[in-house]
Parts: sequence; structure tokens; C-alpha cells
Amino acid sequence: MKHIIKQIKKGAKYTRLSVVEKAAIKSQLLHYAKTHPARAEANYLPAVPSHFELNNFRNKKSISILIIGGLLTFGSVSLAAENTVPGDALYAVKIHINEQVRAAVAVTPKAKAEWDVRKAERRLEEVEKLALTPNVSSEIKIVAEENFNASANKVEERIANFEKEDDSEEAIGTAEKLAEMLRKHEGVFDKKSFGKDVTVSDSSFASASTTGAEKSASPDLEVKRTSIDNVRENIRGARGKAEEKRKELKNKYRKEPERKDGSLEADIPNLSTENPVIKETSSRDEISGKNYNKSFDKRNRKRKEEIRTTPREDGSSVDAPKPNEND
Amino acid sequence: MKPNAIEKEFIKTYDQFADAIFRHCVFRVSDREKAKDITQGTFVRLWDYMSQGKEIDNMRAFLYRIANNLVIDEYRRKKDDSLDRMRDEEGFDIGFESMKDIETKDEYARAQALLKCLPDKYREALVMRHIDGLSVKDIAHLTHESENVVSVRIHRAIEKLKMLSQKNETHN
Repeated sequence: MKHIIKQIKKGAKYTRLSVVEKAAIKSQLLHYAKTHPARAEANYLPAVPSHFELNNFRNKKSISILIIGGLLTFGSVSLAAENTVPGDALYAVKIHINEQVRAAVAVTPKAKAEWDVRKAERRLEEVEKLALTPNVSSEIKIVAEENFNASANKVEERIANFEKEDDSEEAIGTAEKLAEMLRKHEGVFDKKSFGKDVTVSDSSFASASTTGAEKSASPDLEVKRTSIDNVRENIRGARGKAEEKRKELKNKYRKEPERKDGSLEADIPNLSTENPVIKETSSRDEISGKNYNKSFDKRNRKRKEEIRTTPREDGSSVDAPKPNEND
Repeated sequence: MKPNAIEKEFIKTYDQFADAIFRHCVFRVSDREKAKDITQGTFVRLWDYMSQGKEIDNMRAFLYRIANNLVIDEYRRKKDDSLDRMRDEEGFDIGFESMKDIETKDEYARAQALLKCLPDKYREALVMRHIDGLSVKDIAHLTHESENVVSVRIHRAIEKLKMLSQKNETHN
């Protein structure tokens, strides 16, 4: 076998262009070069295509892979940033990228108002999360609370804008949404859920003795309780404010309250001859016909005055019930 | 690069590689005239490329690539010919003038005939490896195949030549 290869190689040595043939081809090539001259100011173009040359098919493929990879990476980072709170590394991504993109999608005033309420809710969720997280510095909690207050103020500004434009529907709607949201979150910190958290905190000290666990758990638990109480108070305050605003707007635009759950105060008091029943929003105690909350007494008297002076629709006079003497 | 400089570079390249390209083409197409045409076509394309101001990193590989592509175009135009027809009718005009030894010429002609019987891809790999002296890596790069495929083709080419040689000896 090697013999054949050797023969081929040996023969190859003698295989070449003759001098005449070589010269003939050369002259033809020079003639061709003169008829197709090189460009006078030919710019340098590398023979090996640049890695960034888009016409190169391989580069198109790799660039498209890079783009898809970049989008996937960005998407996963964006998703991870959603659960962050002030102080986390990706919190800036949440605020300046995720929320900016979502804000850009809200085009109509209604959509913008809904987004503002949602944003306030997100800030509130951060406050709640920080309240339940141990070993968080107070500065971060303060920042989170300030963020929430700022977002709630933004919603109020939005409502004020609707009022200016005389858009009663949107103004009342936004105020209702805000109050609804705050009411929902106030329930997060009720005693029942707090009791469960206490159980979780105690179980984290399972290795210690019973008395030791109680002792070591109590300082952290106390801090947590204080933090939760503060948050709850803040939410309560904000909810009261939101509901005040909602009532104010309804009174302004004279719309009938339509409440299905009956959890809010009735705007129009009970006109029956029986003793008026007043529901206290900040207290869950049931109020009977005899027991009045003294703090609402003044307001109640004012209302009765108004009822006494306001004529009925049929033109008859109003017989206001006598105030109860048990004050 | 200035036009004069490009022309000088081109002529220098021709003087350096014309014989090697011609030899490659001869062993690929087994026809001297066609090999000359392909050689000329290779350098025409080289001029077209250089005249645009493009620079070439590896001139040798570039020339072999052009020549290979032109040979493949020639294969597509060519009809299938048997070994006997090649020997008896058309003969081999691949430049035996410089061969003084008649016996050598005859052996060489026989080897060439066997080479022509190989499938194109096998012949391509064998010629590039044992005549042009290119490495398996260079051949793989030129033909856009993997090194493994090139190695397999060279091996199969040699096995096929062996088989044909034995058949030929039996026939004789």
C-alpha cells in the first residue's frame, strides 16, 4: 500500500506547470488585472470577517443566542427582585425597572390611579415583611414606612386631581380601592395570625430548655410585637384617613352608599323611633341600644340636630327621637 | 494597500503557489488542460478578492479553498468515466515530460488511474494529505469537515486503493 502512495508522491514531484505554461497564465492574469483594476482608495477590509459582522451567519446565530440569554437573565433577575424589601441588593431593580415598566403600561388616568393604589399596597407589604423579619435595623423599617406614606400621599394627590377635574366616579372609586386595600392589610396583623407567629418564633429555640427558650425568646418576641403593633397602628390610621376621604367625596357628590358587607359606617343614621344604633369603626365591641360609646356622643347629637331641622320628602315635619338620657 | 502594492503582492503569490495549485488540480481532475483552467480561475478569484482591498491572513489556505471549490464545480459537470476508458481512450496528460524513466512513468500512470477511481471526497482528502502536504487540521478547515471525518476518508481512500490495486494485478 505504501508503494502506491510513494509512487503518487514521486510522480507529484514532476507534476508542475512548464515555464511556457506558467508565463502564459501569468500574462492572462495581468491582462485581467488591468481590465479589473484595484480600487484606488480601497479601505482595509480584513479577510477574516469580524466577530461583530452581522452578515456573518455564525454571528447572527450567536448574537440571537446572546439576546435570548440576556432576556432570560434579565427576566429572572426581575422576578427575583419582586420579593425584595428596602436594604436588599435587588430592591433598586424592583423600584426603578419593574415598577417603571408597569407604570409605563398604565396609560389612562384610571389605570394610573389603580397602579398608584397597587404601589401603595406593595410598599405596605414591604413594611409588613420587615415587621415580621427579625434582626432588621430600625433605619430600614423607617425607610419602608416613609416609602409607604409617600405612596399613600401619591394616591391622595391622584384623588385630588380627579376632584379638580370633577371626575366623581374615579375619585370615589380610587378612595374606595385605597380603603379596601388598607382594610385587607389591617387583618394581616390580627390576634389570630399573631398567635401563629408566636408559635413559629418559639419553635426556633427548640434546642434550649423550656424556661431557657422562653427567656431567650422573649426579647426578640417583644421587639417583634412592638414592631407589629406600630405597623398595625399606622395601617389603622391610614385606613381611617382613607375612609374619611371616601365619605367626604360621597357626601360631596351625594351618592348613595352601596355596601354589601356592611362593614363600614352607615352615612345616614337610623331614623326609627328606637334608639339609634351607631357602629364604632375602630372597636369591635357590639353596641346595644343602651350602651353608647361616649366618644361618639357629640357627633351623634349634631346629627340629631340636623335631622330635626331637615324636612322630609313628603313635606311633613320630622319628629326626631328624644336623645337617650343615659350619657 | 495601494493598487500597485496589491498587484505586486498578487504576482508574488502567483509565482509562489501556481505550481502547487496546479498539481493539486491535476490530481483532483486528472486532466491537464482542465487543471490549468482551474488554476487560472483560482488566481482570477484571488485578484477579485485582493482588488477590493481585502487582506488575507493565510494565503495558502485561501488558495486551496478556492481551488477546491472550483474542482467540485468541475466534478458536477463531469460525467462518470470508467478506469479502462480513461486509460485506453483519453490517456493521461498530466505532464510526464519531465519523467525520464519509462518504467516510472508507467507505474505513475497506473497509480493515477487508481486514484481516479476513488470517490471524490476520498481522493480530495488523499491528495490534500499526501500530495499537497496539508495537515488533517488544515484539510478539515478547508473542507468544512471535522478532523475525524478527514482522517476516516484518508484511511478509506488508502484501503480502496489497495483493493483496486489487487484487483488490477489479478486482472493483469
